[in-house]
Amino acid sequence: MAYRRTKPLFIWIAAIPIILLGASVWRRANYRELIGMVDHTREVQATIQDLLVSLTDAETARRGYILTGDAKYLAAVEGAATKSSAMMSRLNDLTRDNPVQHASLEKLGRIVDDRLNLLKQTSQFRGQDAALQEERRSGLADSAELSKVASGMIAEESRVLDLRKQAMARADVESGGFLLAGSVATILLLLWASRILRQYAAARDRAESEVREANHQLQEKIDQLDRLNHELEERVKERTLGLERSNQDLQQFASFASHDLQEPLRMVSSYLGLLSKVCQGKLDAEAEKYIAFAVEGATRMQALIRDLLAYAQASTQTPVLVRTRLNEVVSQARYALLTSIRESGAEIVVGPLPEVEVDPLKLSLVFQNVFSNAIKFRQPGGQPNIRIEAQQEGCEWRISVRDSGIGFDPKYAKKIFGAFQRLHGKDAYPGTGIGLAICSRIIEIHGGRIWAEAGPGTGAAFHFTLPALAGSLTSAEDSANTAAFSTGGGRGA
Amino acid sequence: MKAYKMRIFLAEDNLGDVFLIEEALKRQSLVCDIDHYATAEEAIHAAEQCGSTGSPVPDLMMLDYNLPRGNGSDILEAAGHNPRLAAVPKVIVTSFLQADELAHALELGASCLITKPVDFESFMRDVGAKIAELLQAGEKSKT
Repeated sequence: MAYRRTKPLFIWIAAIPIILLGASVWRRANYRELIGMVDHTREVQATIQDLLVSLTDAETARRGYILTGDAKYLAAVEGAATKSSAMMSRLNDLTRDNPVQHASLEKLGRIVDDRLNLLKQTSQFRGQDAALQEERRSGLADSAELSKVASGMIAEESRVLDLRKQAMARADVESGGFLLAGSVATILLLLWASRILRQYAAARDRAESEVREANHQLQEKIDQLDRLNHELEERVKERTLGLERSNQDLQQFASFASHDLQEPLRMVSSYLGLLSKVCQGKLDAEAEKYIAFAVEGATRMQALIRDLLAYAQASTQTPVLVRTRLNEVVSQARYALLTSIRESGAEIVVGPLPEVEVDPLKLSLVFQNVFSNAIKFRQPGGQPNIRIEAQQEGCEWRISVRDSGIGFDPKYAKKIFGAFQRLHGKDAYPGTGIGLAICSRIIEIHGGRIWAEAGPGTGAAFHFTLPALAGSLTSAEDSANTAAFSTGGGRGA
Repeated sequence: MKAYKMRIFLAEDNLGDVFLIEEALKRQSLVCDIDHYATAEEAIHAAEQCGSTGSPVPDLMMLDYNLPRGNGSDILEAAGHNPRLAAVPKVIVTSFLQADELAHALELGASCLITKPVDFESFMRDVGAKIAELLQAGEKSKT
């Protein structure tokens, strides 16, 4: 941001008015000092003047004494002398700072000392004319010298005074100038600072409004997402409701099929039976045959209805998923088909099968259908041989059931899973053709696929997939014990 | 006790089945009075009244499951409210019953299920035998 870069610059520039104001204060101090020095100069001049006056007074008094001999003049001489020497020592103090003046003062001092000595001898000069003459002469000479030195000193002080007055004026002007410049610089600095602050505030406002805008957009997106989610939920609900309804319809159909379709069938077959009983001996062989056909038709119809019902149930009922060892499911299926396995002498070899999450009752139906198919379509005169094995493929298991039967033409491999699809005449192989359709439905509702492979005469293989348990990749290994047990049982059956 | 005639409460809408049951009883040499109700409504009413207004208590209740205006479970429920019918054996006689329906019927006091066989001979044999067995068991428990 701009104000970050200007910060060091601002600090440097902020020093300018401080320096200017400092200079102003310094010059003002100079000015005050110079006022003191001017006063000092004036005092020196005044003191010299006073000294001259004092000495003149003493001289006047002395002359008075010499002329009159009046003692009161003598006292005045002494007073003036004392005063003069006091002034000398005062001047000595005052001119200590100026060597030129100090030198002049020394000269003045000597003259004043001479004069003071003379003044001390005043009482001795009473009535002595020669001395008077001498004194007058030297007194005049002294006076001229004194006046000359004093004037020099006063002139020197005047020179210094002029210089100091000039310096004072300069200091005054400069102090004012610095003050003005400092004030202007301060005002400019304040203006600049306020501008920076305004810029900063504007940048902050802009950033805030950007954040607000971004938040607003985010909120809108969230709302939109919520709306979409809601719509999706509604749609799922509708679909679920529709599915439940169609499931219910199917269930009702199943119930209808089981109860109401079977009643009239039973009537037909029962009363045909009663008819043949009642008319025994009265009907010829042809008529008996017709009745037998009618009874058989009704019986078949009932089998179809029963299988259709089983198919509907496999389609509509949701599976009850349980962790199950497939070997146990195979054992169950084998137990259900015990009679036909014994009669046909079928051998079932079970490899190691995994543990999976399935509806064991439904899956047992799959094995039952596949086994009974293998037994039904065995080689004429041969013993059925069934082998079951499992193989893991990614996150699912592929279960394969192979038989040694008559097989089928591979072009029917898909068709055989359709409901009521048969490849053989019902006289050659009984059945309604629903078994594999039921298997297909059951595997589908478990989330798997089922398919078949075969060639005529080389046996058939049925494969289906089941989802593997999450986090168990080698469950076939731990069910190896069961597998060994099942295999043994299979051979024995 | 030879003069005693068995009394059967029969809820059955199919007259053909009523006749077959009568025929089966005849073949078992059982002479029975049959109180026949053709709808569930009638049967429920009768089950509620049994033994109270001079109407006799039956020795056996045979109930078809699917009936007009109700089903076998409804009749079993009504019978359950009548204490005079507590000791009477009740059977469901039907051509097909789904597992959950059977469980419900057994819960409501049905003693067993007789599935009507398709062919005539089986019907005569199975249904007749079962009825005879139930009636004899009932008689034994009375004496």
